Amino acid sequence: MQTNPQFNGHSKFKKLLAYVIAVLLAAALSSIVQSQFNLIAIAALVEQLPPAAWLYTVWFDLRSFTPTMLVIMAPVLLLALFASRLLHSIVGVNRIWLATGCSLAGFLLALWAINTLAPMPTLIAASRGMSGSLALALCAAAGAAIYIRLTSHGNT
Amino acid sequence: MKKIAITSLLLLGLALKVQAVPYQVTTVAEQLNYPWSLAFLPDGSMLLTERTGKLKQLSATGEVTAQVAPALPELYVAAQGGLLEVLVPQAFSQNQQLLLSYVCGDANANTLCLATARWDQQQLTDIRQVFKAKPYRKGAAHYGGRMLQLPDNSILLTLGDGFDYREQAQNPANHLGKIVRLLPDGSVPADNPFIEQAGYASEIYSMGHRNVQGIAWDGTNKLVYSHEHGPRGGDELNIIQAGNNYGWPVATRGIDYTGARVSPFRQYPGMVEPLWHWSPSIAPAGMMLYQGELFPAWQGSLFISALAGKALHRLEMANGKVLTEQLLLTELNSRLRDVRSGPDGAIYLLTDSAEGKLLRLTP
Repeated sequence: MQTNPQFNGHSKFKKLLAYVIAVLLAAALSSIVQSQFNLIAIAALVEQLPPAAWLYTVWFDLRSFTPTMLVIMAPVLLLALFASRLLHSIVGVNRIWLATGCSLAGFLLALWAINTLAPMPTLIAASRGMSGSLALALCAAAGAAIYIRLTSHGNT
Repeated sequence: MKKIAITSLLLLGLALKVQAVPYQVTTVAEQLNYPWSLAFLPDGSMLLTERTGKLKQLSATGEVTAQVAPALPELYVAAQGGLLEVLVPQAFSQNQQLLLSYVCGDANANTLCLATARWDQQQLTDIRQVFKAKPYRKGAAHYGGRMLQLPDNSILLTLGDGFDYREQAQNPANHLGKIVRLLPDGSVPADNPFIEQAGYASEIYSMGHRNVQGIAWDGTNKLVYSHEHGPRGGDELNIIQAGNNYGWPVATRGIDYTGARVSPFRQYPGMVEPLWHWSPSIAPAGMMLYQGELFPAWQGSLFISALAGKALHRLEMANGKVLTEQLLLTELNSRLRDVRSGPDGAIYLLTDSAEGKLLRLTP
């Protein structure tokens, strides 16, 4: 069977673009989520947290914290997408479920590894509790779902 | 142009002024395993703690004349935890009693403890745990651990927020992120600011701290200075007053190591702003107010040893205000853990490493 090299190149570029978009969105989403955890904690300590200060913090974190999440999300999503592809060929389960599941588990594993290796007890303050860790892991899962959606041809 | 020339001359004059004091650095002792604090005994010898659990006595010339591994109840050595400060109280000549701050517990439940012990004939005896900060925490970071004896004999003991528990620095019911005031036997002075106040731990002297590792008394102005580690930026120098709230984590100039904002507020009503701050962080780890004879030009200056900053910061003070800041010892490129003024007027420093050194600064 012959393949069209132009088509293959186009497909690879589309996958790469989908991966970059997925990583960027997952990192940005996780930044917004972690801001909420930090802000809720501060709001509990003060009489009033003005909406403008709340929004500015979210914006600040999007610029300042997102790069940290990019460093974590990029390898987590890459490995999770590879793993889900492999599992899909073995067990035949819908790939979007496999990809989101692998990303979720992969992100939690990454958090554990980072907190084990980093000098401080917990690197990302929002992940000090299980709810925060799960919320951030769901952002990784959302990134995986975005990738599958962007690269699907109607049959995932 | 004229303005620029005048400004340049003023800056040059200031630079010449702060450069004017020559000093030399002598290595007094080497091969010290993460030395943490230094104290002077009335006979001129020194006591030195190693975070990894040893207490050493050194002669004035630096020979180790005694070395003990104190059997401190529940001593826990890990990361930032271990044997921290040794304090020689004013009554030492009468009762030979020392105070030792250290981390107690285990990996899953640890905290800062305070013990009294007798230093007699180069042995540490009669060790008693007299205070345990509450509650226990997990992880081995942010313990504080510095001590200061006030003229009324009471002890200020600095504590940390436990890193993962930063919001607790605003909870008056526990000791996380507080400075506590105790009597040398561990009991609570009757005039503590929150004594018998519902919902407040009676030991608390001040609150809203992150990790306080430097505290000094200014007898001339009757002030207590302390500094604390900020996160990424926001290291602070504060004047500590009974009952005050110093803001962490609500009011801070620092952000998290990840780049995330800890709080939207730099200031907040009812929370005291720092007297001085460092951004980027220098990681201040020790402090003394110099009153010695060897460096007359430096009398009244605060000296702060910096870990990440790898320098000795001299803050020229006047009536509780910082006039200028000068960086010393940058040429050593060493993390500096503690700084003390010796009875001979020299300045003594501990470098922070597995092969730490005791250094002496003389003119």
